[in-house]
Amino acid sequence: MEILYYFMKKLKKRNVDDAVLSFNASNARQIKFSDNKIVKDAVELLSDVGIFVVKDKKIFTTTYKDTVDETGLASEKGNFNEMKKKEIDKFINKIMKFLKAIHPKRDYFGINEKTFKYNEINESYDPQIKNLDDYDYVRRGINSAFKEGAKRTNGIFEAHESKNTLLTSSGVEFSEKKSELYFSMRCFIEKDESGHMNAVSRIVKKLDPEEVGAQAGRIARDSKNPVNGQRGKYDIILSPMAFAPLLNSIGDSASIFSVESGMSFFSNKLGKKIGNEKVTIYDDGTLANGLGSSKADMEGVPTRRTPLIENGLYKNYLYNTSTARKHKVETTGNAGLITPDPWNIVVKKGDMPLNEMIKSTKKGIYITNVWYTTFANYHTGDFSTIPRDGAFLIQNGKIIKSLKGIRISENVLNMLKNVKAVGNNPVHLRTWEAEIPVLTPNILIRGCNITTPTV
Amino acid sequence: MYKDFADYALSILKKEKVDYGEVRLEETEGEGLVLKNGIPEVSGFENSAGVGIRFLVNNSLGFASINKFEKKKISQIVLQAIKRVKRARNMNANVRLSEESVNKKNYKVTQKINLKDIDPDKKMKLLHDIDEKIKKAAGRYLSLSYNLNKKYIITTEGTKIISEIPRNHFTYFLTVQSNGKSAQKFWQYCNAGGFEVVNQWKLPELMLKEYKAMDLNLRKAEKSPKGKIDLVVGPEVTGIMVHESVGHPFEADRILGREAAQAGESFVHKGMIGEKIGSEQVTVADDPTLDKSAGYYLYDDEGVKARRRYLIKNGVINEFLHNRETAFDMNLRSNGAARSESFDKEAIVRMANTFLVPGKFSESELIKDIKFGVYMRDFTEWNIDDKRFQMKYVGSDCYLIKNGKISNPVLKPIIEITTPALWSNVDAVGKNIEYHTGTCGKGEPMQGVPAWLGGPSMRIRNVRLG
Repeated sequence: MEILYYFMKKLKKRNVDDAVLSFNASNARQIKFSDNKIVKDAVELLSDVGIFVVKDKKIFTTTYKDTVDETGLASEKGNFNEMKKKEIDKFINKIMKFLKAIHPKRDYFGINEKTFKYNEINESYDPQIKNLDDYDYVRRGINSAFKEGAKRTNGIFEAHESKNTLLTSSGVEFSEKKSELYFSMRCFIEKDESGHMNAVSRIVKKLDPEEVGAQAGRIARDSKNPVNGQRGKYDIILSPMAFAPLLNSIGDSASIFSVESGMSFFSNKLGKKIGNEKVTIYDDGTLANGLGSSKADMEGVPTRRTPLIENGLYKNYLYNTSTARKHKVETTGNAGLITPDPWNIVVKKGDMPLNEMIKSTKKGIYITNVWYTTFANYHTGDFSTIPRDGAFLIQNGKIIKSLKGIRISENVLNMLKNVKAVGNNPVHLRTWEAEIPVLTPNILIRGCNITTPTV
Repeated sequence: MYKDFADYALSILKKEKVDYGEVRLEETEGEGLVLKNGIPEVSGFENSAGVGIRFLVNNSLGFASINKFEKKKISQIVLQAIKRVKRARNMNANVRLSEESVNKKNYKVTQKINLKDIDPDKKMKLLHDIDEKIKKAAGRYLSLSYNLNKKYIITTEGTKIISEIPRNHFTYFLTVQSNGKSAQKFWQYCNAGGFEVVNQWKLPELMLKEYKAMDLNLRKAEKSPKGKIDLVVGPEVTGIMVHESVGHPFEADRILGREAAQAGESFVHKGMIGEKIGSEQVTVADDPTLDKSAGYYLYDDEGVKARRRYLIKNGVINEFLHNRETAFDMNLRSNGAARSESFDKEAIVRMANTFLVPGKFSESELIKDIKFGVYMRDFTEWNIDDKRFQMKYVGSDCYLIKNGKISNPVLKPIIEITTPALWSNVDAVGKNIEYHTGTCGKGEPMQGVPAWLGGPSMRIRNVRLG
């Protein structure tokens, strides 16, 4: 990575204290379909160098573009020529001038100084992604939904391949290749009858478009003739799609940056019982086939599995080296270029299948998807979210009808306390509202507040 | 700018004889600073550039994006995109674009105080000045940034639009604690223009006012009344209501189902033009041409001239938001609503600056004949379903109205209401228009674009607070 070495050499000459350089190159393909037809076919080729520089506790970040191609070599002819060197010299002058004008972050305590040997992540790169027949994936997904009764299908198929290389002023250097597949399908039958399912995978053989289409189609079929729901307290079963946005809030709240900024409902909860003992949730950067998995964080610290909630006890915040030193703990290997971030949020699976959850519920709602999750207060965890697609009223252990027009108006911490059962069939997901990948089964929560429009 | 590369991309599209081709080159530079609880966080600048290439072949839509300015690479990716689209012919939707005039224009937003002339040190001092005013707040996250976006849009039809729009952004996230309770507010400001607009915001005074309102509510607020009540909402609440329940459901691509998988559809259907949806008092417009606005542009990302769109006129559905694709489908001309977040995203139908057109009343006139009601100046949590039919707003800085006057603060009144019920119950509209800012999210991959959400205070009769 000639360009990274050159950047680092020049930055060190300017006596910076810490520097992290990250080269990212990606190519992606995307098919968007609506009403069973492809409405857009897109390809992209992007690359840049992420730059993080610290001098006298002044922290600076930027990206440098238009220099490198996907091999990491620079310039039109693939040679790292004098012209590009001059361009970088000028860029570094600009950085140094900017650094002079900004103020120090008093509570900055450096980056990782050790070098490590890294373990490979299982199922993280599949060269077969290049050879996929994208249209065939979409076609198979749509046909599978039709078999379940879907009339209109809408969604996205994405195939993404990237190469990332990291170089730090402490001597860390590593590269990794990643592949990603994402398939999202929402099916419609008649008015207000719809079902939605997503799937993600790092490897080709673990993404089955037909299963996605079939599940979305089945939910749409089952959501026949929905009626307006009634306000009140219900036990709710959240499917993985429906639980994913809340798990993202849980992951975000676990970052020490959120805690310090007042954006976390886990503030002052370390070591305290915050949930039912059935609740165990990890952040896992090493998860096999995990969409967010990576060998190391942005300082070169190997990623790991960090318990956030273990049997209902709140265990850890997520740190980078600087914030860990500030709080006198070890880094959890969650450094992003700017803040500590989760990798994959994983819910430890339980033992209750969905049909048992339904059977054990007297008055409840099975919710297959949610939309527009917003918080009144991140510190307390008060929020609401709107079930969409199939939502099913349960009475005395049986689904009796399909619902619409309801809202979950709740508190995350209350919900964690009221978890009654955890499902046994976790799935990998990323959704429109849940950008942090999750691995979660269904979850059954007692006594949730359901509201509806009053006018 | 890298115009040569954009011209080159267009030449390939012409050579390949596409039915329609459009190249959008974007170069963005910017700068951002963050102060968290009085301590500077990371600061940085941005320099990015890239090209988005969109085309129609046999009525199928293809898109390619690249930030590598190398002719060979550009040629490769465009040819790859064309090949893919041709191959999938039998699966493709029949995409066609409305006929539009060929436009050639070069325009920019002027900066009285050039953003590049303001040292980061001066901006950080401003953030410290704000922080000093609100130091009693338990959590203070303040961010000040700008970006200067230059676009060069060319099409095979001959359109050529060159633009330069600088935008200033201020974002805050405040946590205030008192009496063992806490309240939070996240809000944004955005204006197009030079640094003079930041000076005009008078941020230290503004933030002190926000802090005081939150603190007062925590210390003094009573339980909110429940049941049927008359409600007056301030411009911040009017703005979000207009954006969520009029702007979004009037986006023609939602109405036609193109966004159904993620951003959702609409309770409005195309036959509803001319139908009554609100009271006589309700007129809602969206206007990209508002001077210095967050959503400002004179030509959209398809090169179509922008204009004011009246979505609702005196309670009647008047017009939807269109790009060329949806306009063709409804046998209309585009009204210039195509926007994209950046060069690597396709332009889709978006709002720019959506607002309730002001009426003739002062805010005190709206309040004075209410015997018992609630005044909701701003809000915290809110959401609306993906057809934009049933919505919820949780009030933040709110007061009882007693005998025509603002009285004690009240705690978090909640309104959950349907779109037709909301707009039908508006019986008076104020003249005190304000424009607030939101980052509007839509599309997959998600695209966030700056938009103004505006309006004056308005009175809503017989609302049930939950």
